[in-house]
Amino acid sequence: MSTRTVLSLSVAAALALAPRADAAHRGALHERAGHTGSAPQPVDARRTASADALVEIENPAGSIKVVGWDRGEVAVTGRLGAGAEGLDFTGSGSRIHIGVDTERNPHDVISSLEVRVPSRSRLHIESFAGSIAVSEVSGTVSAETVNGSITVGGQAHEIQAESVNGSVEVAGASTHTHAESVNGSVTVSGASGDLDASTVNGRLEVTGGSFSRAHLETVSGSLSFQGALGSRATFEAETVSGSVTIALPAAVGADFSISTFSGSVDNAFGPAATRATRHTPEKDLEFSTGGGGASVTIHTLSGSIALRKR
Amino acid sequence: MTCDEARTKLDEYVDGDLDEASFQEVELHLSGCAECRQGERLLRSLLAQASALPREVVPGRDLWPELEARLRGREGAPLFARPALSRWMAPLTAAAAVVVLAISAALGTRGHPRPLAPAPPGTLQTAAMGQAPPALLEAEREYARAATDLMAALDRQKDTLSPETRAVLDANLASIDTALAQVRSALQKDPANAQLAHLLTSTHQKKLDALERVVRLNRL
Repeated sequence: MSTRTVLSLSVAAALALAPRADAAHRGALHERAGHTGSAPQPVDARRTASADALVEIENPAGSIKVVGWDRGEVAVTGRLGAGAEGLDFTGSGSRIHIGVDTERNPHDVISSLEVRVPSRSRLHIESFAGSIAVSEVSGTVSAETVNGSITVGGQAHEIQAESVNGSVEVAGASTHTHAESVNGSVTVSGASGDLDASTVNGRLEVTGGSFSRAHLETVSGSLSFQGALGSRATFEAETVSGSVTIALPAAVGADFSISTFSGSVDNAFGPAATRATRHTPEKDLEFSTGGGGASVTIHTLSGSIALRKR
Repeated sequence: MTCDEARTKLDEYVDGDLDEASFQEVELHLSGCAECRQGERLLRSLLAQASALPREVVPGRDLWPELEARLRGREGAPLFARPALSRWMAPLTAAAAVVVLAISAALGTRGHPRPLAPAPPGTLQTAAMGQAPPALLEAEREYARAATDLMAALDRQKDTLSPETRAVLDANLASIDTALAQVRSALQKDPANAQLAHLLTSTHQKKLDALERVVRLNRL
C-alpha cells in the first residue's frame, strides 16, 4: 500500500472532518440564553440532566471550570466576553451542549464559564485559547485546547487531556489516561491501568499506581516515571534528546530492552549497557529481573537513561 | 443501547446512513464506551486504507479541492454533523502505523522495531554514504507532504489565528524539525537502525498531531 496515499487520505480526512460552526447541534433544540452585546455579561442558567449525561462544552477563549455535584442538573455561571451573542445551552437529560456564540472572531471573545455537572457525567470539552479545569467528576473526561492549561482532578476513570501550548496535569485515580502537550509539561499522578502520555518540549512526569500498559514519549523534554508494573505489563518510553528516569520497585519482575544511540545508561538493577557495534556509539542493554514478566522498552537518541529502584 | 446494538449499526453510522434518532443513539453510546469507540476507529481506519487501495499509484490529491473548499467554509454538507473529539484521529494513527510497518518491513522487522544485526563490513560503505532505506525516504516525503497540507490549511486560517499562537506553534515545529534533523543525522551513521527509523516517524507524527489540533480547534 502506498504510504503516500494513506497519509494524503488521512490528512484529507482530518481536515474534512474538522468541526464546522454550521455543523453543530445536529437534532438538538437550539435555545439561547444571554444577550447580544459588546460588553461582558453575566450568565446564570441551568438544565436538568441525567446522572451520566453527556455534557459538551465549547468556549473558544477564556476559561472553563467544571465541577461535579450530586444534583441532576447542569448549571452554568460565569461571564460571557464582549462580543458574545449569547450562551448556546441546549439539550436536556442525557445530552447537554454548552457553547458561546460570537459575532466576531471567537478567539477574541474571552468568556469564563463555571459549569456544574452531575458527578458521573461524561464530559467533552473544547477550547482554543482557554484553560480547562475539571474536578469532582467520576465519569469520563475529554478535554482539548490549543493555548491553555488543562487540569483534571477527581475520580474520573477515563481521561483524555490534550493541549498544544499549555501544561496538562492529571491527578486522580484514572484507569485509562491519555495526556498530551506540545509546548508544556505533562504531569500524571495517581493514575493506574492504561496510560499514554507525551510532550514535545515539556517535562513528562508520571507518579502513580500499577500500570498494565504505559507508553510515554517526549522529543526534547525530560521523562520520568515512578510507579509499578503489572506482571504482564507493557511499558515503553521514548525520547529524542530528553533524559529518561524510570523508578520501579526493587522486586519488579520485568524484561528490559534499552538502547540509546549516543546517550548514557545508568542501571541500578544490574548489568551495564554495552556498545551495540564498534561502528556507532549506540549502546544496548537487555536483561531480566525478578524472573521477568513485564516488558520494559526504553529508547532514546541522545537522552540519558537512568533506571532506579524505588 | 448495548454494545452489540451499537456494533450492528456502526457501518451505517460511519457511512452517514443512519436516521437522526439512530445516529444520536450510536453517538451517545460511543461517547461513553471506549471499546466501541476503538471499534469505530478501526473501522474508519480500514475504510481509509481500503479507499487507498485503488489509488496505489495515483495519490488521493484529487480530493483536495473539495476538502479545501469545505475547510474554507463554502457551501457543502459536512461529512459528519458533529464529530466527537478525536473521532478522526484514527486515520492519522493508522497512517503512522502503516508507515512504521512499511519501514519495519523494509528493514526486515515486524511489530515493535528491534535493533537489526550490525551491518556487515561490506555494507558499511553504504552506511558511511548515509543512504537511508527507500521506504524510509518515501515515508519522510509523505510526512512532509502531509505537514505541508496542514500548514497550508493553517495559513488559510490566519485571520482567526493570533500571531502569538502562530509564533508558539512555529517555534515548536522548529523544535521538532531540529529533533528530526538529529535523528536523520544518526540514521546517516546507522541506516539500518530500525529504532532510529521508528523514532523518526514517531517524531514526524508529533508534528502532524500538533498541526491538526491547531487547525481543528481553530474552527471553534
